[in-house]
Amino acid sequence: MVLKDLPLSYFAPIPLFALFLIASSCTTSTGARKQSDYDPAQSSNAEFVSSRPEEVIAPLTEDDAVFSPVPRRFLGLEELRSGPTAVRVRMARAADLENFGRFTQTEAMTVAFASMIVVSGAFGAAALPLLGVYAAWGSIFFGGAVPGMLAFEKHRQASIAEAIAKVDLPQIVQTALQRRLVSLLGESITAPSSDLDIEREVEVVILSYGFLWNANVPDTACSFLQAEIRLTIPNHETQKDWVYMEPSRRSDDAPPAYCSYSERLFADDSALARQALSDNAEILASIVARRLESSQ
Amino acid sequence: MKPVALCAIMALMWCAGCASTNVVVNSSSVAPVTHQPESGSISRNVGLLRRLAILPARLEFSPSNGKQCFESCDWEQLTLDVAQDVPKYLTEWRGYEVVVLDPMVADHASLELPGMSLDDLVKELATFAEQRSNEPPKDEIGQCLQAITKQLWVDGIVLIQGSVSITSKLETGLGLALAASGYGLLGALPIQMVRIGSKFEADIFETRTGRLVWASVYSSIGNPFAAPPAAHTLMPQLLDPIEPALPVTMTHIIRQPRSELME
Repeated sequence: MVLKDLPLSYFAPIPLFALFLIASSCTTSTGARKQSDYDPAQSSNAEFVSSRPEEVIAPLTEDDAVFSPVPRRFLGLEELRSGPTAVRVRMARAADLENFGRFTQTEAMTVAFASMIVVSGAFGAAALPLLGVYAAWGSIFFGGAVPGMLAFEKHRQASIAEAIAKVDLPQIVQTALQRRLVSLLGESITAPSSDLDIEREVEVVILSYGFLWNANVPDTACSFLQAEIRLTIPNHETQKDWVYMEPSRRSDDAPPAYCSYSERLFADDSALARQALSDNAEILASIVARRLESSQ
Repeated sequence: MKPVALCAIMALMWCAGCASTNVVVNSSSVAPVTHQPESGSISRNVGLLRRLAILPARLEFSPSNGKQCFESCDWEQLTLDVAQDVPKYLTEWRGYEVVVLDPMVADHASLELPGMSLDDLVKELATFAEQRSNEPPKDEIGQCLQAITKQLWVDGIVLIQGSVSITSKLETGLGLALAASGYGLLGALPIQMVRIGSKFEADIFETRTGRLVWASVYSSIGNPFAAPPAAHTLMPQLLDPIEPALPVTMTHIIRQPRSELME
């Protein structure tokens, strides 16, 4: 028997068989990356996001690392009214896309079952000697299809990261926080300037923000944001407090992290995701202002 | 022709279980009762209704006797799961404060309504929601909503209603008999694909005016062999489109008037 004499229908199931193999491997690998295994410093996701790199802040001390959801009371706030107070917001690292798997479970299972149905029918119809032909074709298509699908997934993640990078989160926090603190503390609030020797400063350092794949609920992603508040006042040591808005932990005065199905979240150029990031920025500013207000 | 017809049905069954969630009502003019939103904060519609009272769910099942299902159906458990999962989702995922009125839930609130029972109010609201009207409801319903506002101090009321149809043992037996006759199955399967499935609706009414301000519909049909739905996967599907509640740090809380507290 010569290969060229075989009808084309004998070769039709081979690409689907290859897709089945790919889908099977993708189904097992989706969600395999755990959040604890993720090292943002080594992740290649960061390169997809344009950012203004800031100096790396000092690592938290052992005491600081103990999570407390209860906001602290700041001391010496009456000093803020007695002179110019700078408000500064900066970012510690680029936006993150954490724990993002490859294909969604729905996509992987759809390809797997479609392939199984067609391939099983084809095998029933074909003679066993053709199995060798299928294996040869399968390996050819497997070698070509896998890089193609990986490239597609990389492109999708890059598109999401690019859309999210359009949200200038530190600037939104800066503007919102200044607006709130002016109404709280009066006209003594100023923007940071290197020319002025500022003794009073409210600084917000955004430690991390972005979206992470929710391993507990299939095909959902959640926003996360973690920030540090630093208050510098004369005759006081720098006071710190933290704001957490994450699926696994959140401050008492923070709302739950926004989670939604990835189909909705990243549709229309990630419109909903960008809205969630903007809202998080406004919420962070309101939390900082409210903590300062309640400490007075 | 017969293999083509069978392949067409197999293709339809492959697509079976297609589910979708659609927001059918989303009003932009929503007024809360329990707080004043700060000006210039983030945009919210139904999210302004931070405090919600959740009415008992109104569910219908077919077959009504769970023992007649082809696969095991525990309708009581599903009803209890819905009653527990809806407040859990709204509080833990979207940041709302909820007051549960369903007696099946342990920490439920009780209240007195003028002129009708809680079950009657649920039926009236379900009928009113179907109209998809922008107008306030009739006076009887409005008075009940005012009573809920005074007694519970909430911005909105949530109503969950739905229907679930599962293939029964009798239908399965008839289906097998039709299959033995050849073409008989081709007539029965499409009918079952349309009939079997789930449809749930979540409606939110603002208590200030009684208007329907938000509604979401989830439907899943097409799979004649579908298992009974699970509430922990169903409620996220139904409520996912709802926007988060306005955070408390962006509001000025209005305390419940003392005169209403003393009534």
